[in-house]
Amino acid sequence: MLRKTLLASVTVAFCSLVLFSLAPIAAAQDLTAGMGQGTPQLVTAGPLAFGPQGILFVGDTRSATIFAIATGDATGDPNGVTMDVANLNGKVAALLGADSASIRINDVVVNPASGQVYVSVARGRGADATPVICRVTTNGDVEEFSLDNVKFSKASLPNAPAERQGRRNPRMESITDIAYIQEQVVIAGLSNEEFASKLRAVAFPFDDVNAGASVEIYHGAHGALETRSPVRTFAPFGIDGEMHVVAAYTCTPLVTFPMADLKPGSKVKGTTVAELGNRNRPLDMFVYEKDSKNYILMANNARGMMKIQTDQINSMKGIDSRISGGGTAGLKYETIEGMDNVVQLDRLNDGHALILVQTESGAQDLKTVVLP
Amino acid sequence: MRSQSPALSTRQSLIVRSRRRGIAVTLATFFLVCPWVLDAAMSEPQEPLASRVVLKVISGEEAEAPAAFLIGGWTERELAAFSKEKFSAEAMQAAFAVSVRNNDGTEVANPPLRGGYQLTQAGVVFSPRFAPMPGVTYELRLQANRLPKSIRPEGETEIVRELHIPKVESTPVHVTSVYPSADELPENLLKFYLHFSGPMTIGNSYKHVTLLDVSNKEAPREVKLPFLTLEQELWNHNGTRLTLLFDPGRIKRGLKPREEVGPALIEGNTYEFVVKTSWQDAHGAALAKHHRKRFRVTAPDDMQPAPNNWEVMVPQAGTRNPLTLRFEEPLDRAMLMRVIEVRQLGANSSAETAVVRGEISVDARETRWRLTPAEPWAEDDYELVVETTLEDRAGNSIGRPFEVDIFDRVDREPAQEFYRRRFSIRH
Repeated sequence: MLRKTLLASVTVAFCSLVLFSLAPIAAAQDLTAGMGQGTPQLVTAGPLAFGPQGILFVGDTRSATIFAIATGDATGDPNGVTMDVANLNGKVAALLGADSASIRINDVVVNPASGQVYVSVARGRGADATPVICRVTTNGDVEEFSLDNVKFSKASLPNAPAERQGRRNPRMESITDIAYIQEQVVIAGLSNEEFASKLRAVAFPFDDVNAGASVEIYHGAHGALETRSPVRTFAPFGIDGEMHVVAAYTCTPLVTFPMADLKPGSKVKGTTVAELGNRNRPLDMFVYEKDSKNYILMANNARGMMKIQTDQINSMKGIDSRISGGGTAGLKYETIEGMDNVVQLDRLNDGHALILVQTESGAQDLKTVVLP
Repeated sequence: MRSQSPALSTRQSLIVRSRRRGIAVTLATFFLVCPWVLDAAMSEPQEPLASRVVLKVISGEEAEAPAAFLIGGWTERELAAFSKEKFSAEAMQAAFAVSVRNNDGTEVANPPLRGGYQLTQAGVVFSPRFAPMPGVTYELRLQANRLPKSIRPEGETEIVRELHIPKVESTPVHVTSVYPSADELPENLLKFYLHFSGPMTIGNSYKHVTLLDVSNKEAPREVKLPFLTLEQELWNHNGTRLTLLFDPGRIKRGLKPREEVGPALIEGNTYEFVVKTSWQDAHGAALAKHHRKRFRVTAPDDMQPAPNNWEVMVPQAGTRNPLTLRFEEPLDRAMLMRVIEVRQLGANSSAETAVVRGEISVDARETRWRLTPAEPWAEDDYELVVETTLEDRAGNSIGRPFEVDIFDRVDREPAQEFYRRRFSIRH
């Protein structure tokens, strides 16, 4: 679900700033240099995100760990890629010696360096399913991306206080989304017990000492300050030259807050920039540029895709008063017809998005669509 | 090696001739019950290769579960010819491709499974990268023209075998409980915990539950989208408990979803929560039966749990009677099992023994918590330590309410992490 890369998401002004200021640094530093060689022991393969230099981040909910894997897939031309793979889940199942009812696609993400697509998969039905990473090449072939003997590093997330006591059944904190933003891996989590918002920023390359304390995000929502609804999905977004995170909450407001505020243990006040109504339950989003304007494309769980205008995001003071009569406030959006049942979404290249569509037959089709 | 009997070869060839779809099960079963058929290396070929080749699964050394495929039915001469030629891994895969056979009747050729080939006395063993999976049908496509020249059969090009691995038979799983267990629940109820008697299939869970407003008995009405649909479903470690969150956008006041379609639950109405049998367990078997929970909705609960008001019933020293807490309202069942502990404070305890070990139980509609200690209570001072994240059914925690305007308090000190209360146990 994570489709967020630095370049994919910044505004035009910020884009040039970042390119000129960060590119030389990135070129100078090999981010895989400190990694070890071996086979990462994933217990589950959940949300995915790409960083620079072909580094794939894999969220492993069960072991509360983020793995950074050097795929070696760091060159290519994503702009030349279009990809349509019918029945992706069936093809993945056949590849892994299973039937499609016994595999589950957890996330689909594009490597912005190459245009190849990485898929996190659970092979098996239950909690003991085997985690697998698959890859769809730019010509549409589906293959396993073997984790045997790769360069990787990992960051273990601090878990529930109760785990300290060695309890037998600690609660699980599901990782709902991850993204690489400005040398940090940002992780949104949701507990299977208490209703709490956990957002963590972990510096990358990973450092054993700082596993990233959680940050609380407050945002105004119609007269009240919302603190406890977990972040569902998010993307990086430049506002006035400063990197922000735009986040969709489980209760649907769209909120922005500055990356610079994401310091361990801090409380961050976010700005509510849009209220998304009943038909929109955010699953996945990314920011893109079209005709010199930036938009947020957001997939929803059942009906339609939303294209959200961002022109006013710079000047928004935030929605903090009640809007009566079901009126709209904040950023304007439109629902894009003909994009129903999208279960995964990522930015493929400058002109296209990649979507995974759930069909009635059970097949999940990977499709390239023109950015609306 | 024993020769194949004529009677057997007739029976076997009959099965092989009718080998397509469905019959593969018979084939597999047949060889399981007749292991003597599996003497792979026969002294002399009794029949053409196409009639002799068998595909079956074999278990690993440590477990009963299928681990590899055996391609058997060879004569000693054929196996000897193989061992002389030293086939490469690629050549073995080209000669003995095993793939998944689509169970929907489509003839799309699937790619051969990756894995390692090994020549044994029983035949060719193919160990796929991922173990053969129950419920799946596999297909061997043996390319006869890639066999060693000396044993290559005339006129045969491709020999196909199917093998269906039966699903694991298990006791049907059912819903053991749904929490909160009361039949009156607040309008701002935040979640259900669904407990199952065994591990379940993970994924697409939300389509197997419905919420019906049954206030009007004549015309039950389905509540649309009451629950939060999450890609990363909130299961416990072994897949026996699912946390089902009500859509918070329809609980919190002032939010657009609630304004547009109203709350999922309305005070005064009666609902039925239904878990359907379409839900499958981790073996792919349907739930044993529907589960229904009927409840009436009461006023929203905006009060935080107040541990100062909890009743603490202290047992006598020297006994293993439980320490009992009574709450003013039902609390979150899962958290009650985890976030409360009792510590012994006195001189008789050390850091290791400070936390009283024992059995925790929660009952009386989640208003009563009991700790039955593993060892008798010592006469000493104790402390009840409760994480302030402990919530009631509406998500109000000891630390803070679910829904509050805290605009002016953003910079306040963080809430205490633990609530503590001392008590003594005496003879």
